[in-house]
Amino acid sequence: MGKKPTIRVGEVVFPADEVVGVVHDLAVREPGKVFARFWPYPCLGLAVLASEALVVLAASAPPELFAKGEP
Amino acid sequence: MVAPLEATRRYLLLAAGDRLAALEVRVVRRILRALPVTPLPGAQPALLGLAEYSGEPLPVLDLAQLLGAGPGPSPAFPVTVVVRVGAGGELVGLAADAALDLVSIAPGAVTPTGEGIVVGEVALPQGTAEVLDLARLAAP
Repeated sequence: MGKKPTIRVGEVVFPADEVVGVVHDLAVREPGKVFARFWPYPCLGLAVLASEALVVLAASAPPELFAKGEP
Repeated sequence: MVAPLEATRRYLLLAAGDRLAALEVRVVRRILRALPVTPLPGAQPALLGLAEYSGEPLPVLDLAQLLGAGPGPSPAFPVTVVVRVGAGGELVGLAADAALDLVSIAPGAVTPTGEGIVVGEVALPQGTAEVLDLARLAAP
């Protein structure tokens, strides 16, 4: 098994299991009150990429559970 | 003298675990065979995850969890009910064991309870159903 990748933004190192791609023009919509109630972490919004729904995080300020690398 | 007719409202009757739930039809956008859901780490138990619906991300909630329902019979035709929630019209999916029927309920037939998203109970031929107000999901 190879070493897992990390994403570095300024001082923040963001661990990832796998980098599946880089997208330049993702349509991100606001997460909404209901979503935020049940997933209470900072995020930029929600999006769909290749029929998969995503949470879009700010790599410069990832939620702590992701920053620890063990979600 | 004829008593004025009490206006009835149309509800979608859903099965969720060992409970029945009545959801006002006006908030229902679509009923689909259960959508595949991608779970989210750190989510509260009622949030099953995210699904894709018509090219849009859709948070999917487990109706049985929202109701605190116990286990029911194994669902033969589980559904995702796409609903609009609150004044903002946020689209949310509700995972339920089955969409059973459309029923008319008079407001006076509902016994208020006021717990969580349940505003009351109503006796129906199918059993006692909990009447839902999903706007409470978006309330602060």
